[in-house]
Amino acid sequence: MNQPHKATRAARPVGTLFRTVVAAGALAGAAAHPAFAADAEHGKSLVGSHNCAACHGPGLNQPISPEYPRLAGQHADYIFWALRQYQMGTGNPNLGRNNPIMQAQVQTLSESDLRDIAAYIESLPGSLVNRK
Amino acid sequence: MKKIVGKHVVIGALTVLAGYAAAAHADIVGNPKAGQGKVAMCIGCHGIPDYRTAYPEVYHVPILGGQNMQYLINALKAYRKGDRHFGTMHAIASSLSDQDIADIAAYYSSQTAATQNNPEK
Repeated sequence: MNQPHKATRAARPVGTLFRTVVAAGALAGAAAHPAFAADAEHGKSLVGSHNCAACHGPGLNQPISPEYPRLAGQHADYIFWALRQYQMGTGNPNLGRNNPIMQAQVQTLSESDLRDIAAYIESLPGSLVNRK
Repeated sequence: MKKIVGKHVVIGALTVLAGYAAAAHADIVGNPKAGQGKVAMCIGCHGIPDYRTAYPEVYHVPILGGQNMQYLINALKAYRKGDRHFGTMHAIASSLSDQDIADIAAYYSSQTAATQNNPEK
């Protein structure tokens, strides 16, 4: 009966340390990403080096197969989340998105790379339209 | 001799199976007109510019108009099966038949900049 209480007490210093580390990490993160500004120019170079157009087509607007999505002009925050889901892949059965090609494509990219790619994609003119 | 007969039987069986597979696909053809009457559950989110999800991550719901038809079909089927994860999309896709999915995908993929908003909604 006393066991859970003891365990909590023992865990307390660790918890404090954990909170300190998290707070420090959050501060460092905030400094590294002022206002979360994404760099679409960097995104453009990543899109080039990762050969996205090989499947998603010229301007990322004419996919080579109807199974692949048209990307140009799509919302950046949706694209970012989709890319994050590909990174999680089958390792996260609750959130991950499973596609072998896309999983391989995004594996080496940082979250800030993904935001840059997403910002570039949103900036492209394309044929996606928002209609009811 | 036995070997040759076996080969012919296998080839014949495969041909028949391939025929079935082709027929099963050919049965379902998306109709954008029919899709127009089936998107009531879609436009509450995808028809509102700037609409965002709430959980597990906040982001604008994707633009669907002009998207590739086969991509949309695969996406809806993946949500229905649970391979793609979003609670609302799983619930909605679970209520759709293969024909509904084909019609909805045909409806959205046929939209262009000249398309008017759905007159039925």
